[in-house]
This record gives sequence, C-alpha cells and structure tokens, in this order.
Amino acid sequence: MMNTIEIIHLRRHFTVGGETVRALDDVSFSIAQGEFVSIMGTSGSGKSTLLNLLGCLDTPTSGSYRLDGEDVQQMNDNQLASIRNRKIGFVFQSYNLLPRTTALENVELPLFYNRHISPRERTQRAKEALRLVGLESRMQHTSAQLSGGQQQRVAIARALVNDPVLILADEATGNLDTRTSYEIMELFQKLHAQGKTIAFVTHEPDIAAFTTRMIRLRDGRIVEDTPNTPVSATQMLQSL
Amino acid sequence: MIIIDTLRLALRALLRNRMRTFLTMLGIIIGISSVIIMMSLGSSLTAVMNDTFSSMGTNSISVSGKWEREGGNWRMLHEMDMGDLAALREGCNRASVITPVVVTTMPLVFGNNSHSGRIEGGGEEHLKINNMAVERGCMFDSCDVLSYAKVCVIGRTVAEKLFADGEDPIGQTIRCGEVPVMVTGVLEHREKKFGYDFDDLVVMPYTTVMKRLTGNEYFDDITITCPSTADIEYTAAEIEQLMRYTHGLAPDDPIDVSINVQSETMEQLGDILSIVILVLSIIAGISLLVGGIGIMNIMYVTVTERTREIGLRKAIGARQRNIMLQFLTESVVLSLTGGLLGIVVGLGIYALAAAIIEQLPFTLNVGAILISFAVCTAVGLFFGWYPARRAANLDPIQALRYE
Ligand SMILES: Nc1ncnc2c1ncn2[C@@H]1O[C@H](COP(=O)(O)OP(=O)(O)O)[C@@H](O)[C@H]1O
Ligand SMILES: [Mg+2]
Repeated sequence: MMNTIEIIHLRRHFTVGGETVRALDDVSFSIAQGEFVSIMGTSGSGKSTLLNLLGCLDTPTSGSYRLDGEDVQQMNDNQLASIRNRKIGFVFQSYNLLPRTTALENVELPLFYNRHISPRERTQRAKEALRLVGLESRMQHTSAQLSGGQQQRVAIARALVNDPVLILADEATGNLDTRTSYEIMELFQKLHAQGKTIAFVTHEPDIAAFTTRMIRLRDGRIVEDTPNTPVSATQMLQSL
Repeated sequence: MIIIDTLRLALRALLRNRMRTFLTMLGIIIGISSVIIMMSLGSSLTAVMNDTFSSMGTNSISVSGKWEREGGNWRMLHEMDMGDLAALREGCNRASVITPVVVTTMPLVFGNNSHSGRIEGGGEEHLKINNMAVERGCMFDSCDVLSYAKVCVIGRTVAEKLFADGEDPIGQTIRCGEVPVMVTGVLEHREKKFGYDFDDLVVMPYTTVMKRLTGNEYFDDITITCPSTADIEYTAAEIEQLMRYTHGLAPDDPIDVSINVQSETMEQLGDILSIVILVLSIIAGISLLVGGIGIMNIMYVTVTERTREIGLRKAIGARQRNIMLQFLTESVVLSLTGGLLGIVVGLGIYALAAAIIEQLPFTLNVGAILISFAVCTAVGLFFGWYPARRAANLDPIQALRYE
C-alpha cells in the first residue's frame, strides 16, 4: 500500500533572540494509507510543530516531506494553499468555526476555495459531510446554538468535505469533557474504519489508546513509535 | 472563489456591525453629496447664466443714474434724460440700437376685470434686444414711438387676467390708469428668470409712458446694443466720455452714471460660482479623505478582529489573493454604499433647493453620478489596500493561535 506521508530527516528550527530552538530535530517516519496515528508528548515536545509541517502550513528547515506522492518542501505559498485545500482536513482544539454562520456554511467553506466545485455540489457535499457526523438536523444552526461536542462535529465535517487524503487533529478533544471526547473518538474510529488516514495529536494516553499507532515525541525527537491495538470508543462509552 | 460569494461575504460582514458601518460611511456620504451638489449646481447655474445673458443680450450696455449715499439717505447723482439720449445717439459710433427704458406700475382695467401690471416703455426694438417676441398681432413701430401712440403689447398673464377665456385681446382697448390704450399684440410665453416674469408685462412706446401715463421726463436707463461683443469695450469707454462731456464733469470728478456691461456681470457671477464650487470641492475633498481614513481604520479593526477567521481560511486553502479580494471587496462595498447614499442625499438636497429656489432648474447630472461611483471605487481600493494586504500576509499558524 502507498504511504500517505513520508518524512525523512525533517528539521524545524526557530531562532529566538539569537538562540536556536530545535522544535523538531531529525524526524523520519512514514504513515501508510488508512492508519490512525496518535502523536503524543508533553507540552513543548514539538507536536504542533510537526502537525503544522504535515499540514503544509509551515515549511521545514531541512529534510523532505512527501504527501500523497507529492514533494511538498519545494512548493510556493499558492501551491501549498492548493495542497491544503485538496488533500488535508484540519480539526482544531478550539473548533475555529466562523461566528454567526450556520453549520452548513461552515462546512461549505473549504469548497469555496476550489474553483472546480459548483455552488450546487458545494451544498450537496456539505450536507453529506454533516450527515456523516450525525448533524443533519442541525444544518441551519449557528455555532452559538451548538454544544462544544456538536461544534467539533461541524469542524470534523468541514475537515471531511473536501475528501482529503489526510485528516490532522491537534488536541481535538482538549476542550471537551470525557463523554464528549469519547463520542468524538468514536466518530474518528468510524472514519478510520471507512479508510481515512488520521494523525491525531494529544497528550492524553487514554485518548491515544483509541488509535492504531502511537508516536511519542520528546524535545523534538521521536522516542517511541509502536503499533497499538485500539480500544473501542463505543464500548468505553457503554461502560461510562 | 466566485465574485458573488465574495460580495455576499462582504455584505454580511458589513451588516453584522450596522452602526459601525454607517458611521464609517458618513465621511463618504458627506463627501459624495458635496460632489453631487457641486457638480449639479455648477452645471445648472452655468446653464441658467448663459441662457439669461444670451436673452438679455451679451452685447448690450445699460446706462443709468448713479445712486449715492448722503447721510442716511440715498440720492441720485444724475437722472437719464433726453439730453443724454441725444448725446449717446449722436456720439456712439459703433452702437446699433440706442433706446431708453422706463418702467412703471399701473392699474389695468378691461370691462369688470382689473390687474396691477408692470409697464415697460421702450423703443420699437425693445422686444428684439430683450429676446422677446409677439406671438400674435404686432409690435408697435417707430412712428408709434414718435407719436406717443396709445398702443401696447401684453404678456400672457395680463391677457388672462383682463380678458375672458376665448376673448381676443387684439384690437381691444384697455385702460392704463386713466388712459385708454389699444392692444396690438400678445407676447410669446417665456419662463421666469431670476424672479423676472416675462408674461406679466405690458410693453408700450417709452414716449407714451412718459408723456401720457407718468408725466415723468426721466428714463430709468438707456440701453445701448452693439453688433458684436468686440465693440462693447470701445463703446463703454465712449459712453463714459460722452456722459462726462454732456454733464460737464472734470476728468478727475467721479462719474455720475453707472455703465453696466452685461458680459462683466456674467464674469462676476461666474467668479462667484467658481468660489462656491471651490468651497464645495474642498469640503468634498476633505470629507472624502476623512471618510477614506475612516474606512482604512475600520478595515484594520476588522482584520484584527477576524485574525482567527483569516488563519482558518488560509489553513483550509485560501490563497493570498482570495483574502486580499475578500477584504478589498468589503472596503469597496463600504465606500460604494456610502457613495450611493451620498448620491441620494446630494440629489435630495439639490432637488429641495431647486424646489425652493424657483430660478434653479433641476437637472440630473449623469456625469456627476458616474464620477461619484468612480471616486468611491478608488477610495475603497486605495484605503482598503493596506488592511487587505495585512490580512493576506498573515501567517496562518500565528493567526490561528491569536486570542
Ligand atoms: N513560531 C515559533 N517561534 C519560536 N519557537 C517556537 C515557535 N513555535 C514553536 N516553538 C517552540 O518549539 C517547541 C515546540 O513547540 P510545539 O510544537 O508548539 O509543542 P507542543 O505542541 O508539543 O506543545 C517549543 O519549545 C516552542 O516554544
Ligand atoms: Mg501544541
């Protein structure tokens, strides 16, 4: 099977006040299509830095990154924007939905920046994505009218709507209580079962337990990379 | 992103903060309404002026007695008389028509109807040099002037007041005060100008007015018409010399008559008009500048407020130019909406002014409206450029982290 992500000797250094911060230092790994990977580590270990690179929001200091067979490190801003638009779905800790905008419009948003998708198709696909996350009855609600868990579902629908090769989540359950977190993880497991490739940043071991592979970072380096037999979120919910 | 979507987005963002949007637009509204008022006023006043002066005859000079303030009273230094008329007729080489004018008001009676009418006494050329004409009947001739003939031509309003519907005034004899006068013609209708009603008028030989109606031996003024504008200056100088000589004035004595050259009056009015336009232009310029700065300011605020939104849009695939376009559209829509309101307000004020001031015609100045739209677009683009560029250049990672 083809690797969705291949990174080799990836480095990301920041210079702060004359000193070099090695946020990522010589990281190499691959993620195969269909994997559900958690990226773990303490605060400041470089998880977000890695995720920003994987999401093409940032460019590495050195090393190479292939996403879905395309070499990313040579691309300019416009090409990166286009890659993000077509190949990546982001889920953030704080949802980042537009205020006073309906769930449907929020989900449509990525498709606005794809010239090849007509307004009709846009709405159709957004509705489908909302159905997939179980919010078909809340399409016309604005973010203020939705609970935290529902808002995160809208955000997941937004990440799905462009049918990306990779879903990236940064502490996506960080703002949610345990039950809601498990519900969100249940949704991620469902997406994984449908074949989605997911990289999920978290510092909570019980959340990482739902994934099929755990990568642990410390001071910008990989210290652990092990396969995992995932716990079923559905079962965990029943036992709550 | 399709332009319609961008427009919808801009409208929504602007409607979200209605009060703020409106206040931001105020500068543009004031600026554009000034532009509209200024340009409309400019074009219609120029039209009125040209029209009026061509009807008065730009090639004419009017000579009248000069008033002087003496203590608390006004005193006339000299009254125009037959001697002046004779001197001018004798001495003005390049003049084509020299005719005195006397004006009075008299009760006019026909049958049971009466009307208080303005009576103008002039020579047989009176209608021609004032750009008037008879519609029916005929004007009196030089014989009538010489013989104090009791004839007149009347304006439409006078005809309506004195005669019943369908009754023909021509050939009828009306009474001016105690004097019976025969109507020989009815004047063509003309629009009022500067409060002067060309329809409410009786025109008679000046000799008749002076000898039979008023008994006055002085003229109100003497009008000298030249064949072309080129002769005006020469003739005006000639008139001054003739008057000085006739009235026995020394070269350094102040002149005792006023010599009014119409084209000078036109120039003076033109000067006043250009001052008015200059003041309005300054107001327009300043308020457009202030309005533009207001737009720039509010766009910076908007960009800062929506930093996370911008970060998100970039994360999900918006290019720099998409973001740039989004915010530029917003500033242009803001300033164009302000401009639209400014056009409405400006036209409203101008229409109101035209309704109140009778002499001011309302003309829709399409050029002014087009220029306003162009100016607003330019203001929106110019003052929206830097805020939009700041938005477009935001780093998505930093922007998403922004609190
Ligand atoms: N833009 C930046 N400029 C300077 N230092 C940064 C920047 N981004 C991250 N870092 C540093 O890199 C290290 C890793 O940060 P980060 O990836 O955010 O960690 P995590 O997400 O695991 O908490 C930290 O020491 C952080 O201070
Ligand atoms: Mg982090």
